[in-house]
Amino acid sequence: MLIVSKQDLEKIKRMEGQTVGLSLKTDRKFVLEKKGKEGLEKVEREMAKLGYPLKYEEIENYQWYPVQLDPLFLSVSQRTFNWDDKVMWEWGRWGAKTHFIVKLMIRYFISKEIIAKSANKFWRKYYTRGTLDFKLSKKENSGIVTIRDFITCPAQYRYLEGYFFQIMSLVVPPEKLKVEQVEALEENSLRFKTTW
Amino acid sequence: MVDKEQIESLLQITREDLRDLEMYVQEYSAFLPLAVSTINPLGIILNSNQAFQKLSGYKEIEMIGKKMEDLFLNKEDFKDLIEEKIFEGKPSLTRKMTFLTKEKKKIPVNMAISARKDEKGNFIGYFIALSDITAFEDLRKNLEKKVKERTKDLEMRTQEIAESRTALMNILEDVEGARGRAEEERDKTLAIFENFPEGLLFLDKENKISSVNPSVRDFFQLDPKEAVGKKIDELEKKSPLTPLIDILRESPKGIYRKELKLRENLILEISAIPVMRVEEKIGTLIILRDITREKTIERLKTEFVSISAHQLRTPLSAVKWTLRMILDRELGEISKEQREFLEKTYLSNERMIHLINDLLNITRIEEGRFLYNIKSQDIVKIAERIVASSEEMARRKELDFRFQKPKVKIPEIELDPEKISLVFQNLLDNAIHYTKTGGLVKISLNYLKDKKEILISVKDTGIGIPKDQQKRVFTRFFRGANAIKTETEGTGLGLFIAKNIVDAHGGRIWFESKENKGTTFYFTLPARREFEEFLTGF
Repeated sequence: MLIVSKQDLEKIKRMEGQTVGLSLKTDRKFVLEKKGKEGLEKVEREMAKLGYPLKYEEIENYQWYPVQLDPLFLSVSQRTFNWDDKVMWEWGRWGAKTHFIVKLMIRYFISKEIIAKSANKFWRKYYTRGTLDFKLSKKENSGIVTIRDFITCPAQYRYLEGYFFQIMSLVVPPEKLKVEQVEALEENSLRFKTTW
Repeated sequence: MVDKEQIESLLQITREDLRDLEMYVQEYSAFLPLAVSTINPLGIILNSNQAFQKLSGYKEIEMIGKKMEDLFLNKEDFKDLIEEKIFEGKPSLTRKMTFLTKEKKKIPVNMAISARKDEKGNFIGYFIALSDITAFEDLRKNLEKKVKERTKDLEMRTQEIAESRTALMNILEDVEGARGRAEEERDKTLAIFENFPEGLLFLDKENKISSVNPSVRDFFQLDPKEAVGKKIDELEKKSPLTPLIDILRESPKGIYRKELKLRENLILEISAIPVMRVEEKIGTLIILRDITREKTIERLKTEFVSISAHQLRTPLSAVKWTLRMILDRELGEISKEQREFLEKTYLSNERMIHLINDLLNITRIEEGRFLYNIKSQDIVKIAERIVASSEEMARRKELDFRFQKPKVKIPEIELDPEKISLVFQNLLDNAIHYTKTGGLVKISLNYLKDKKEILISVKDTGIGIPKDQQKRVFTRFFRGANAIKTETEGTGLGLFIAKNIVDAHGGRIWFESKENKGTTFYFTLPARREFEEFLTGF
């Protein structure tokens, strides 16, 4: 029995594009920290069963890998350890704090406007496919984050909420900040509303 | 055109560069001992190095997103610092702050803030570097504490010094006062010293002549420069002080009195008095008194007495022999009444002759020509003769009169027999006169072989000598108060003459007496060869 639903697996397999090794490695560090080496190896074995036998030690930071590896690792980990949405949300925040890519982009985390303006550049550091758009609404103290042309799976939703929350918390008081997924208007896209 | 293979090659190089760069940044962050953090313009922590994490106690994951101000004890200070100073255009500054760790521990830090700008010069946040200055602060506090303690100590010492100074000033004032008084006393003493009519010469404890007064200068016609500061032994033989120095050298230590005939018309009496400070002798004061006039008067008096006595003795002798002839009826019979009157007259004449003889003896003593018939004599025989002549008188008073001869043979000694007879006579006369009827008078002679001297004693059980008058026994004209009551006759010259005779023979004379119990007189005469030499001096 596959650990990931057949439906999700098929969806993931349809994903196109590549993701940077740094991103894959950072996500694996979270599992290492939470579940140790054995936990990570367990996930890697499940990944291998699904036809993705990449090991942590083999990942090159600045090499590009099939983008499927990213959502698949999240899904397999969630299923393996039976993590709920809260853990996935925390994982997203954790990733935003520890990604070396974030450190490289640190100069942009100085205001909502700069973040909004740099959003797609930021996306491009991670993926070769898709776009990231961040539109601010100054009147409402809110903004809409839209990921387009990028197939995702449910395991990524809470993860991305946590990730965006962490990025926005660098410029918005976190106690007022809220990030929630809203209905996507287009195919192969995701939308998140941030308010503060 | 660049083909795909070339692109892949360039990408690989870039990847490797990026990896190396990442490694470098990580190593740098791990190594850097200074705690460094990056914050955005809102003061939110974006990242930090390991030193910062170690200092704060937060993991990086916990720290990212925190407000930096929350890590300081005084948030407002931090905010003011950022808002006012950095935005005023100062790119960096340093300030001491108190850092709060995760465990709420307060750590003194030196904080450096530096503004970050992008390539276009836009402000994008700050670098914050913290250095733990706990050790430095502890050192500073310790130093401050020590400085404080030292300052306090110095203040106390300053106070003590001030107090000591005041005390010293007081002492100085006292000393100044004492010095003034001492100077006044010294001036007085100096004035007395300079104006003293008698000569004063002060020898220090090393026998150096310390000072001489004008009288000494006059006596010796002395230039003080020749003598002052010199030891008496160092003075030249021709020094005017030589006669004095000779006496000082020969004189015993302690108080003494000597005469010095310096010139024909100048006789000095020299007195030496040790000068003591507490119990330490600090010198000797020599007092030189001009006794020329006294000596002249004394000489004139002696001459007068001598002449008078000689002049008186001749008619008295004539009277004596005339009376003797009458009493012996060589000039015819006399009545009983006449005899009684004549005998009284004869005795009075005898007493007069006796007195005149005593006076003549004294004048000879004073003239220093007393002993003039020195010969080797057997003193026992002299004693026997005197005892025999006194036996009749003792018998009349019914005294127990004894003469104890020496047990061993006494050698003949050099003496003036007439004078020694006088000593015996005077002592025996006194013993018989002042002892009541039935009393004891005993004469003893002993030869003290070890001391080479002869000891003579005359003991009586008479009226004795009152204790308060015993010191004056050997002075001229002394008669005890009880003796005057008992015996109205007596010149008071006998013991004075006896002492001078014994002294002149180099002997000693003394007595033991108790009033109403009796008296024993003792005298010694030397029985040694040197005595002969001694006597030649007289």
